Amino acid sequence: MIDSLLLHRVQFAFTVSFHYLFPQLTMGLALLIFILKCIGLRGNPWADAAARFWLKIFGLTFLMGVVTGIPLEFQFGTNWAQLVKSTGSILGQTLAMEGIFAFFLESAFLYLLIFGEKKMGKRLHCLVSFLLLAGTWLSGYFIICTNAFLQHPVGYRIGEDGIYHLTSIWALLSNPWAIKQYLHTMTGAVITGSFTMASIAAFHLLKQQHQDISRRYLKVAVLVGFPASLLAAMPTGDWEAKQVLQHQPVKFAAMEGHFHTEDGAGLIILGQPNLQELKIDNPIIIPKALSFLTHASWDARVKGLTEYDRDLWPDNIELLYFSYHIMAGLGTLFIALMGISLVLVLKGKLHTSRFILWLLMLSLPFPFIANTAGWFTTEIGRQPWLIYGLMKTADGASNNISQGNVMFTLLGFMGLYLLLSVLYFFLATRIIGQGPELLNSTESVSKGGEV
Amino acid sequence: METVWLILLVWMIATYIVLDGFDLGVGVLHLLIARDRPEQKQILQSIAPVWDGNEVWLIAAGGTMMMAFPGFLSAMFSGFYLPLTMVVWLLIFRAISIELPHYLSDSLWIHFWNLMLFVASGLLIVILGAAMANIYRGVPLDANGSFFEPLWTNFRIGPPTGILDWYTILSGITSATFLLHHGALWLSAKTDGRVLQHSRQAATWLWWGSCSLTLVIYIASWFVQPLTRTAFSETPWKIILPVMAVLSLFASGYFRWSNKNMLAFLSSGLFIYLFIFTGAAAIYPNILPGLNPDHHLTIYNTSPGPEKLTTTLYWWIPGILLVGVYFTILFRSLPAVISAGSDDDH
Repeated sequence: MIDSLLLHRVQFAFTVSFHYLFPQLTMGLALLIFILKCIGLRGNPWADAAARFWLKIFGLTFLMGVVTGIPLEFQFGTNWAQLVKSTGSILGQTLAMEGIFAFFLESAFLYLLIFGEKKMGKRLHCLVSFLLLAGTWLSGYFIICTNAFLQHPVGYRIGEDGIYHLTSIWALLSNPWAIKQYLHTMTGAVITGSFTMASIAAFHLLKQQHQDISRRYLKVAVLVGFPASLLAAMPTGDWEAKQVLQHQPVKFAAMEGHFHTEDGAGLIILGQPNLQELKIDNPIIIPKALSFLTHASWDARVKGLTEYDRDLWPDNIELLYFSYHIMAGLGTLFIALMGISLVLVLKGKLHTSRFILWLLMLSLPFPFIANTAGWFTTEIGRQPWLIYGLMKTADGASNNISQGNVMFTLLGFMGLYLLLSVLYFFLATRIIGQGPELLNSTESVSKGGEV
Repeated sequence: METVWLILLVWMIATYIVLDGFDLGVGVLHLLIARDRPEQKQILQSIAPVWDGNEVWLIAAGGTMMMAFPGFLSAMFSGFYLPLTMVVWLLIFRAISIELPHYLSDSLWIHFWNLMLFVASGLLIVILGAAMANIYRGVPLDANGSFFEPLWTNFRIGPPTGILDWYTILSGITSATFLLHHGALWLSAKTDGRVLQHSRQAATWLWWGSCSLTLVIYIASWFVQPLTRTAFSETPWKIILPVMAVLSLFASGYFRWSNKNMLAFLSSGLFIYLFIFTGAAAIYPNILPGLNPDHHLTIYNTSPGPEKLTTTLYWWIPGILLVGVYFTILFRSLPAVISAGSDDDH
């Protein structure tokens, strides 16, 4: 017999992980499309054509994000009723704000952006692309605030009946945890957007199709992708790691695979956590680096997992450890690949460097994996807590639903999302195959200047 | 303050039903009214730009419900676990079947998605009514304020209750009729040519259906939920709500008859608002009646208390005003009349 709690967790984890494949791309692309529209304003028809092409992919991805996002809003109530009953008046604030301030904005202007280009002037069309950017990024902020309350609760008071009351909406919205996590998450989204753009451009260049436009927007993708890759590590990744160390030391020790307290602790690069013997098998370690990164001193003491009560350890340390190392490893690769690409862009050689174009093209899945692994780190590392230090995950799930019902809906979601994946790949491949087009033959790519 | 939020919440839910109601209605009607592909496109063009914004009202209402009445949301959502999850699946199918046909101009592909749109929209408009009726009829709440209901038991109003019984099915048919009527009036107001004629014909039939079912459901509700009798005998002024509702429905019929189709559509919207407010007023101050009168969930025992609710208004009111601006821009960007074979590439 499977534990009902496990089914609730698996269903939420599955639906939220699948969902976030889409918003990370739309939030990243929203920025890039806005940049392309701004370049287009300065009399570069290729940028308008590229924006139009990417809007098609944006539209399809946005649709997937909408339809897979609705189940999450419902699941708070259906699967996590105990959580909502005690904290709904707090979590509901940011969820309602997300609907009212962000979703309405996005839904009202997406259609105008995709279908209104001919009727609107160029400036208005650029403004609408900015409103869409604002909508997607605001939505991200509100949902990170909701998550941040679970990670690092602020602005609340617990009543005698166990019900949480909001004491300050400003505290909730300016949760320091939320601000750092937001910056880290958004740089991650921009990485996904720019790598996707670079990958498709590389694909077209290698296929020798749509070369003029692809060559030009590839530069935009690299010029945005390199700083984003850098910012994801320093400073936002560093901030995020330090706030985990400060507020969630158990999560920190577990994700680093740091079992025993040490002075001058090493940074584990590779190796498999061995929970039986509480050590890392086949380790590759940079000596003293963990102490230096966390305390700016090579000999500082870093507390290990064994310092803490075993009941407070996350229940899947292996997955947590690997998620974190996959994210960090891929993040390092992103900096290297975008760094090399940037050098080639500055030399004007990227579009002819076939080897790097191959690497860029093949890198498409990695930002999605890195972002997902990052969220696995955050969320698995929060266990066994639902609200860190206050409420255990086991106390938040609905307790009036039989396992059969949860299994039924979990299987339903799996089948439905399989269908959505097939449809998305099929249609996205078609859009990419068609490639960017200029509106009419009187527009010529060469009319526009360089970036 | 709880009462204010109840009114705001009911208003948001009703706005969702009025707005998404017409595009769900159109989602069903498009297969029945359109004769060929240009007409289908004409009909679907009238909802394609707006369905997503309309659906956001559901999400916004959900968030507001969680914030203002968390005890209500947690009881209702977990208690109606299966049907709500299925609603989510239907909403997914509805959304993709409106949008995906544009990506491929293959007749099999388009036929398939149009059929999916018909099925998903049709089921949703029935379920909306059944859901409302479940809340109105009451559910087997325990002392902790939670319950779980099977999809059906013996189709009587219980106990033991099931989500589907004769009353909730009746309500499902009623809401389907109201929303098809509403959708037909939207098409009458927004299209021309043959689609306009057929929408008006459909609206005429559906108007008669709506009138009869309003009468039936009002009578049934009087007997099904004892709180109704208390409400209207203790606060007789509430009778103004159902009376105004019926008058709006009559007005809708009159405007359609005199060919003022947009006014007919708006009156139908007003009717749906008033109809939903009648239901909420009849069980007030309860928000989810229990079968055991000691276990009713009220606006007081499900909310975080008045002072929190007051401060929330400071961001909620400007937020909703902003939404009003977006919707004005969005609906104004629609052409006044959509013709078959117009060159909009959607």
